[in-house]
Amino acid sequence: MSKRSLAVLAVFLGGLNTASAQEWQWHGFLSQGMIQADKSNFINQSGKPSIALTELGINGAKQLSPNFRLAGQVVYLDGGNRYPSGLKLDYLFLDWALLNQLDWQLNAYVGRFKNQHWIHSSTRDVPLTRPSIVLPQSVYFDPFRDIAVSSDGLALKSSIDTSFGNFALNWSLGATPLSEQQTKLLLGDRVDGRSRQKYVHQASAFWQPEMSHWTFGVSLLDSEFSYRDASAELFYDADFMVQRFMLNAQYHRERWQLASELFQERMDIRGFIAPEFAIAQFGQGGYVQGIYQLSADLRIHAMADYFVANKDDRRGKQLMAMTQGEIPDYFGFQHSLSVGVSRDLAPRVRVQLEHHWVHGAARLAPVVVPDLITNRHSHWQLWALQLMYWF
Amino acid sequence: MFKYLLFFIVCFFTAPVQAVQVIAHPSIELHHLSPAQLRALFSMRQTQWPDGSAVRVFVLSSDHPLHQNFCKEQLRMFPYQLDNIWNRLSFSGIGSRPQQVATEQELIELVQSTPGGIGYRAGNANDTGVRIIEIR
Repeated sequence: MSKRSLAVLAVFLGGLNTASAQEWQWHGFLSQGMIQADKSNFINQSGKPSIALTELGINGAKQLSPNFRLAGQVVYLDGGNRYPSGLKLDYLFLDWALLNQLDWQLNAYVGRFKNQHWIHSSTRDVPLTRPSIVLPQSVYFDPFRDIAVSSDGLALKSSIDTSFGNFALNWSLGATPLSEQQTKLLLGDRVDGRSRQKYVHQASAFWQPEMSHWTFGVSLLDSEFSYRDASAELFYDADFMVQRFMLNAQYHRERWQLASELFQERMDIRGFIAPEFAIAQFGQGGYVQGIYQLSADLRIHAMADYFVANKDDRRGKQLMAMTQGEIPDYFGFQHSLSVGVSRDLAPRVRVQLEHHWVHGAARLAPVVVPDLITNRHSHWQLWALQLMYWF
Repeated sequence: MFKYLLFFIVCFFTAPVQAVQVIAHPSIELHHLSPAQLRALFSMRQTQWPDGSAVRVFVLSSDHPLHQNFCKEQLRMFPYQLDNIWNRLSFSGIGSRPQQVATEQELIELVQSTPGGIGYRAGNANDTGVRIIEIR
């Protein structure tokens, strides 16, 4: 859906206002931090401490009639090299309550909606909702943020309560406009052509057994992209396909909680390097994250994250051999351990600090033509400090 | 003797748990809800009553002892889980947060005066013209 279509939708919905409508509800968040990733281009090329850790957002929602609701959010993000920075229309959609019964709810969302299929996908930019400042890159790969966070199209969400527990079912079909900056993040600084997401089709199911502290989930993703080369450049027209199958589990106790997501992802590339070039590989990854509440306002967390770009080449040896040693083996994987602490300084004010130890460079942008100059080390570290406020 | 000693120890060291009643506006035609239905209402998934009127949820702050007892006793979840759900709804656009009030008395008055209102109160409170909903 184009920006013009979204504007027309907004004007149309403004006209739906009825006497039964309620007032606008407003919420927002402001956060600023400091971050450093030495020996890698994760934040910047220099590896020096940076203030490129800004996340601001404001959202509004209005009940237009008993079954229709309008919601929108604008964010300003600066994450350095992690994702395209700037002002973004995060979501703007019409929410239609198709079924609203005590044991069964079904909603349809039309417009730009958030990805509701993974544990943190719908609020990955909202600092107060995240267990850590930097999410596990195996699943929440930052250079893919703009593609994975929202889509323009149609989504359905249903919740069903049965004697076996609660089932939440999600389905969505749409596409995300890709900016020039996003294209360079994915493909490399030297590309001059344009990329386009043809579609992204997703489905997920979450099950919380009755009287259980566990929640289990499964999600599927199928997406295609195209690249059309600019005249007089090194690269060729290309088609990319990404498919992901993911399982997740969450466990909640009064003072601690665990979450894990495990996936296998297929990536096909046709063209780009040469007209006849074709490659298909299966990546695998996942993380386990734990949070412990030390007191009402103090919590600690720890995380182990694992990712291999090719499950048949877990140590990157084939990658290095295939490129005659030009791409080092550590670009074939990325594993990390992290610890952190967060403290509530006042109601709706929190400070968070964390440290990551990382081995590998497979989740550093650009993906297809990696940055071999900055990322000359197989081991690197990251620390981040963030202050946040929300209302 | 041992039984009495054990009873004394349990009584002495166990913090008193305040019973919680679910209350609604007198016009609500429901007398009981299942825990799952109550969770759907307080998770802000269920936004209409069976007669089609809008649900208005009122809560105390997450650190209020009555709210904590309500979450654990009636919703069978922890307060932070409810906070996480509300944050996810309000920052991804698919739902709204409930209205938070400062005191139990204010909560009761709002439920009493707001059509479609639902909330909770201490189980030993006097009858204040609200519908008491049994959870079973």
